[in-house]
Amino acid sequence: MQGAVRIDEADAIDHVLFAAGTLPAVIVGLLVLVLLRRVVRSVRAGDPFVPVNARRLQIMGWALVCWPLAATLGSLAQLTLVDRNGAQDIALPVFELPFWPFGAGLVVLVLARVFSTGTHLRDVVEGLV
Amino acid sequence: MTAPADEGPPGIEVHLDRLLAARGMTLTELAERVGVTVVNLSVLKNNRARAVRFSTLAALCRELDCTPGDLLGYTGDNR
Repeated sequence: MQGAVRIDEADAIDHVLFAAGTLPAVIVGLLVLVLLRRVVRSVRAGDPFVPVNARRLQIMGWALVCWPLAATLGSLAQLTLVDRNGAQDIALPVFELPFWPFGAGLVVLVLARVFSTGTHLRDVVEGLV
Repeated sequence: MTAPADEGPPGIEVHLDRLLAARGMTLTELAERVGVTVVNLSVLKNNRARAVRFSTLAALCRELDCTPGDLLGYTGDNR
């Protein structure tokens, strides 16, 4: 069963907790999207195998791996918000721990390693006749 | 001090232009015979190569009828 809790006269801390409910996951998601866009632009430019892309993929991988933690922090913030307003007996925030970002993050970290090795190999053979 | 990225190892000279002139051969002809692109051979001729495969070196010596010592020279460490 699902419902909604309305908090009248919410104070500043309530607003912060409400935002913190989704903000960590949103920040992680935005970071991944911004870096992915830069990687895609380098592909369009015809030169994706550069050290900076290996670094971007590494950051994206770790961001995805940490996404479940961000989601957990968000759920804790929501729980605190409910507790502060005495609704703990009628509303229980759902703790959702998505595991797909963790798996996706591991895949991206492996890809980052592949890119890093690829750029190193490219350096080695550059200027080889 | 290290060599810039677009220059070969310091102290190594490539005498390809001299040998081509002596044999009356163009860079394009040599590239076709050796099986290396003209661009890569040009990189070698202009002392911008960072490494040469032995197979390439052997093919160059075969087509130019020379030895590696005729093709490459060491001018000492200029660092």
